[in-house]
Amino acid sequence: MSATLSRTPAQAPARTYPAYSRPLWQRALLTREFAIIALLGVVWFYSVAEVPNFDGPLTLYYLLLDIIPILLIALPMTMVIITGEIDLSVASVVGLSSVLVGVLHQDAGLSIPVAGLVAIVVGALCGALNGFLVSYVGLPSLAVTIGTLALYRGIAVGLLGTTAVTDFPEKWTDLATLRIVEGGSIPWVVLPFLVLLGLFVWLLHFSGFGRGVYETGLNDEAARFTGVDVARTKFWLFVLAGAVSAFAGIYFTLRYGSARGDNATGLELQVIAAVLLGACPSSAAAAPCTASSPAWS
Amino acid sequence: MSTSRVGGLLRSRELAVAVVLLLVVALATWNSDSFLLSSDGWRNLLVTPSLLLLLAVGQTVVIITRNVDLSVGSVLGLTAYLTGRLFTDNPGIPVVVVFLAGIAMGALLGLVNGVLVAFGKVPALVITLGTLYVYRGIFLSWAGSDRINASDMPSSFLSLGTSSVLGIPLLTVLAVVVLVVVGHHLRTTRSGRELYAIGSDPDAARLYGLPVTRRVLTAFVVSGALAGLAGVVYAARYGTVSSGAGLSIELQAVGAAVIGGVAIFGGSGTVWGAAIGAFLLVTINRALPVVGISDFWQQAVVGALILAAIVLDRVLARRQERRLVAEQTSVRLDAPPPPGTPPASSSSSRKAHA
Repeated sequence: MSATLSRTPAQAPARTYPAYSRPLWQRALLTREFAIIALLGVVWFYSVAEVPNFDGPLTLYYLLLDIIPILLIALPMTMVIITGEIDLSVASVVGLSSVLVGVLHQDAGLSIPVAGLVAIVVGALCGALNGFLVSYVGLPSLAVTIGTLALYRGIAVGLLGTTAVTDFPEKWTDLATLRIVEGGSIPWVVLPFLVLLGLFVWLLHFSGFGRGVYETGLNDEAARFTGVDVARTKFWLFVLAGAVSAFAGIYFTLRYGSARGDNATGLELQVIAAVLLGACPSSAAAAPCTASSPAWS
Repeated sequence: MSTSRVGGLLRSRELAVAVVLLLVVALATWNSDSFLLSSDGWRNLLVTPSLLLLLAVGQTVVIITRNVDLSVGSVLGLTAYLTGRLFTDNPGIPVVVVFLAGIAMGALLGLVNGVLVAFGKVPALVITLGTLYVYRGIFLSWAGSDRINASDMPSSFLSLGTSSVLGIPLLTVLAVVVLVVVGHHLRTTRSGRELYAIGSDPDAARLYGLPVTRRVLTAFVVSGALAGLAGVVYAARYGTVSSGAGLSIELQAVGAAVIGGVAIFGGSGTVWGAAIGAFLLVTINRALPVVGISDFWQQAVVGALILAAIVLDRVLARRQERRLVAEQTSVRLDAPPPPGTPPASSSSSRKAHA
């Protein structure tokens, strides 16, 4: 210790930071995000060239409508994966919230916003159960969320069976597919996604909580020593994942005008694929993760 | 020695799951005799889990090495379709050749997984999630909207799915033979034990000089080959193969292993447990309507079961840990104090026992 202290700065070997010693253009181009965006561009141009009407305004419109649930859930999922955990139950929460909105609206006569609010609360509770079992009981998240994947989906299917609720007020189903500009190709729902994206970028990259998320992923033992409440961090990430999935479930219901128990089956693998493709190799959790948004198309 | 072995058996996870399985069967039979006692019920009880059993055994081998194989459902679908195509394209092809082709195809697909995981240094979850889509994509583009029907396959092959030996369906015999071979291998051979060592601590295993890469590769090949075999079995059992074959069965396979006590982070668990887990999962699905619960609630019960299994695992592990710590402390305190120790330490030992 004293030896280190007595050493003068001049004697200390100059530290180099390989990542920052390269010129800016290399740092910008040789990133995972750029590779994915470039790939997306290649696919896009290929499709425009080969697929008739691919560059028509309708294509982009439906593409955006379809990927919104994936984009939404990818936000909390990115953070969950950065901490080294995984949440396989998100698509089941989508299904459950869809059924809840349907049942509460049809049988309990609640208006869509109230039913939606209840669904989001239930989604957060679903996430809280995941989070509790993972963070405070100390169970592996892969096993826990395989269990809740079946449990939440089972409750959704159990509530509605094979029937579907389809009589939603047009006012609300139209809202899900409304465009920003009449006849344009950008659906209105992109806006709430962008707001959430901004919130998550702030949370992950510019807040103490986000630093804790990265630290937890790199080494949760070390994170604990530096004062990060690892258990609480993971718990809230699962709650976030549940709440956002429930929101996606409401969107899913209104977009297709149908609440069914098997809505969004298998969506969890698409979300995880999008996150892994775009940003987070789950072992080296340090990659910047904003790029998960363009990853899926 | 023998009492500790009996005690270990009683505490074992396999036994606990088997008891639950027996309870489920007993309850269902109590409600409706035909669940077990009719010839059809007996057959279904044994045949239906056989498919999942094969996948769960392969999954266990992979999970023990601290990896996971999510692509098994797609491999199953692909080989099931291959089976049908072999029969339609080569009339008169021997059934044995079809079985071998299915296993070889599965092994090849498993080898791709294994190579990517072992050499790519990418987590298995990511790799096999990718190949899940790739294999399913190959399947879809190959099969298109085509569909294999029972009339496309020879009756000698389809009868494999229905015939039985001494009242035990042939497919179940096949699955159990596979189970015994893999289980025996894992328990007794050097290469089998090494899989556990690799799963417990991959870095230590590598430092110790174990052939980690080769073992992990083999584990994936085994899992793929068993999924391939399951694909052929699927074709024989159901007679039809459409593009939905094996969709999302991979989570059931992982679930069966987890219920059966295979630790998801590697290093512990047995194929016996996974096999009983597979039986339990499938049997519960069939038992629920019999005991008067709408089968729409099946999945919820299965999910609750998986959660209960892993929570139970945790509780038992923690109790065991506490017991071991207590034993160790009391042993240390009971030991005669080394020469030169002040007598205070012996009084503290008495206090600890009080």
